[in-house]
Amino acid sequence: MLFSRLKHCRCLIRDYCSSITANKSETSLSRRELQYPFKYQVARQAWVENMDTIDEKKLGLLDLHPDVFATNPRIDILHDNVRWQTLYRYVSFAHTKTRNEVRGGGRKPWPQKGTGRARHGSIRSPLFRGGGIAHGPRSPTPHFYMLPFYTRVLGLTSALSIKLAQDDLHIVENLELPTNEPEFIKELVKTRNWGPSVLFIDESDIMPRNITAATDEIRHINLMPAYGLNVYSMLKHDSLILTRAALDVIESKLLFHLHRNNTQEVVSQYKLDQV
Amino acid sequence: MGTGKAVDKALTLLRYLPRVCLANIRTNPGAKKCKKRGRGQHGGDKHGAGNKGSGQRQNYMRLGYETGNTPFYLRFKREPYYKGHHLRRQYPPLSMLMLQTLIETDRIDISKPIDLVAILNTGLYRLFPDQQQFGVNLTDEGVDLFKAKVNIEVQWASELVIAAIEKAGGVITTAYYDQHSLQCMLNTRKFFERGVPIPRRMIPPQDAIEYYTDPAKRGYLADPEKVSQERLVLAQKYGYTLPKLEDDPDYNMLTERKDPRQIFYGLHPGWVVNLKDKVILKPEEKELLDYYAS
Amino acid sequence: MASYYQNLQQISKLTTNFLSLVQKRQSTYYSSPLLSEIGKVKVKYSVSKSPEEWKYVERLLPPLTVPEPVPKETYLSEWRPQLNECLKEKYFIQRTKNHMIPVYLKIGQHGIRKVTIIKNIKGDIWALEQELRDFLQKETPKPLRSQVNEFAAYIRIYGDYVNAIKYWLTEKKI
Repeated sequence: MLFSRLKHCRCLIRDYCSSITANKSETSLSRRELQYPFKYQVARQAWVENMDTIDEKKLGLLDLHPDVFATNPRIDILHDNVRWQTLYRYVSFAHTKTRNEVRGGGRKPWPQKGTGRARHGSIRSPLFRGGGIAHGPRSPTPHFYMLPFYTRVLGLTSALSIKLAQDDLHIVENLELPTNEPEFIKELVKTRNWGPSVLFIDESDIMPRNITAATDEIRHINLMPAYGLNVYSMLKHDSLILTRAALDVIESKLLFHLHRNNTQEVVSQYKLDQV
Repeated sequence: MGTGKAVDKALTLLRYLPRVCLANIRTNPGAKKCKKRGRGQHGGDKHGAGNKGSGQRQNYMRLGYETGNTPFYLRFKREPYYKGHHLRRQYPPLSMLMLQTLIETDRIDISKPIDLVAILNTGLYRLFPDQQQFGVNLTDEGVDLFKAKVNIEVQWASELVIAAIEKAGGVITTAYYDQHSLQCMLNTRKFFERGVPIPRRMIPPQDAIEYYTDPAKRGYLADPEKVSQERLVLAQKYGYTLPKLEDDPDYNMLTERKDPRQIFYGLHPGWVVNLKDKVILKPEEKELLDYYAS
Repeated sequence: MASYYQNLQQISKLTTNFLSLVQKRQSTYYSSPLLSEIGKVKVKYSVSKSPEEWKYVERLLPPLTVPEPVPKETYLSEWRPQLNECLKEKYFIQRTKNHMIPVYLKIGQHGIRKVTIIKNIKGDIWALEQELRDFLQKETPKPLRSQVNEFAAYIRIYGDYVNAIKYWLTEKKI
């Protein structure tokens, strides 16, 4: 019953959108062509919004590939990805001295027999107070490991699917702002209910001047190139905003890896104990 | 949910749940085991190391030691079963059924000659030349189902397989590739990016020459007249009419063969392929031309 | 003694001449010299841009993505493509990226335990499980043990029924 209601809603929205599109240009009405045909699954859709004004204007409707934006929301895979992202570059500098590193303790403290006390060889053994630590941390200890390639791909697709499902994913024409004032972008984010923290993703790392100046001071609104997309950032920020170009790049790259001919190159790259 | 066709259950459920964030995620139950050291009666005390001996004292005997008597690994000075095992060539199998499946799923293009490079490019057949593997051994599993007209070049084929391919109107050749050539063929893109000229293929070693000069095995060094004679012999043996290759419209494709010194179709040894500029560099020095043509 | 050293000197001269021709590779990163221009290449060579020769090069390069199989009239192998007739069913089993049916055999416990696993099941997974049960129960007198995981989209059946299930699914054009 719930699903039939949702289906009905979507039809209403589609009718509504056709009457309120701001520009009836070529880009707004043409649907995006999706690579890699799929059966049974249905393409997901998202509005294309503008960044010129504070109030949002829907410029068009885009199709999104279900293999990237409608996969199983695997929370455990997201956890694995986040854990990997934090741990693989972590080096622990905790250090303890072993019994041979602690100062002193070379001499046998008392004779083996006759004293009535327990037998000992050195006053710095782990049994002693002030002695060395047996299995303690040894600096520097790296915690580097590589998560399997397809676990990482699935992490990205799961995160994107979850963002879209929870209405936290928005697609924007481009990141051209009319002013470089931080107040503009703050108002924009507030009016549109994009949540306090926002992550803007563009195709390349060179972004339009206004947005870089505006978001420079604001620490919870961040810009990122498409190659920097990662699970941790997607979960940390409340809203994820993709530009059209970034969407094309991300979707094509993820779909390429999901339909690769020879996965051995990519799967065996960091595998341990290979002949 | 019978009508849950377009709408995924889990994704719709997420719309009514709090936002997934860093504080909301966890692994599956049982995925992570905490590595705490056991304490007390259960898990502690001897910590699974037992009583006395090398087990508790962690001073084990060396691997293979049998407490004094001559160990197994020293008892036999010679094992003739393994004599020359490092010199034996291996040909990992590829069944006719697999070949038929590859053709039907359009992984292999039968409008062009099939060689080892085409089979390796599918990504479904793996070869390890450093493990004494020298190429494809076409086995007879699915030989009765095979019905594709192909020009195929393998490294080892049995009589039944040869008969099946020729019955379907195709051509089969057995050819030898030395390990250096095989490394070039494994990943052609990587090889071309090295900027090294295409090497010459080496002649097969002494114990393989007999196989590759045998017309019955369709060896690439065999006399073509004798090969056509053997085709007739096989047709009579297995009872099928030998299709006439000359009348076939794909005659040029079916008779396309490599020179014994050539690794890739259409590319001669000594050439350097530049993938970036899409250009082929050919040597003009007399010495080099003589060397590569020999 | 003197002649011995003279011989040594002669040998060392020969070897140094020979070594200068042989390519030297430094052992460490920091000791090896930086790349330098070799200047104009003295060896004669020709550059060819002929498209016919380039076609041979392109033939050698592997495809980047899995090719989409073109539908054919008859199939001689066991493989069949997934047709739109399968959409009539209440469930849907998505093919793998190599267009294969996702039914696998898992062997554990030193070859004793055999479990058939069917993956990528979308839609009404319970209906599929019931239909499979109805089909496979005829094969054995023993009760069929199965596990359905709706979220992870798989069904596990105790026993080796891989070929039977693949046959049944191809009959249904899945």
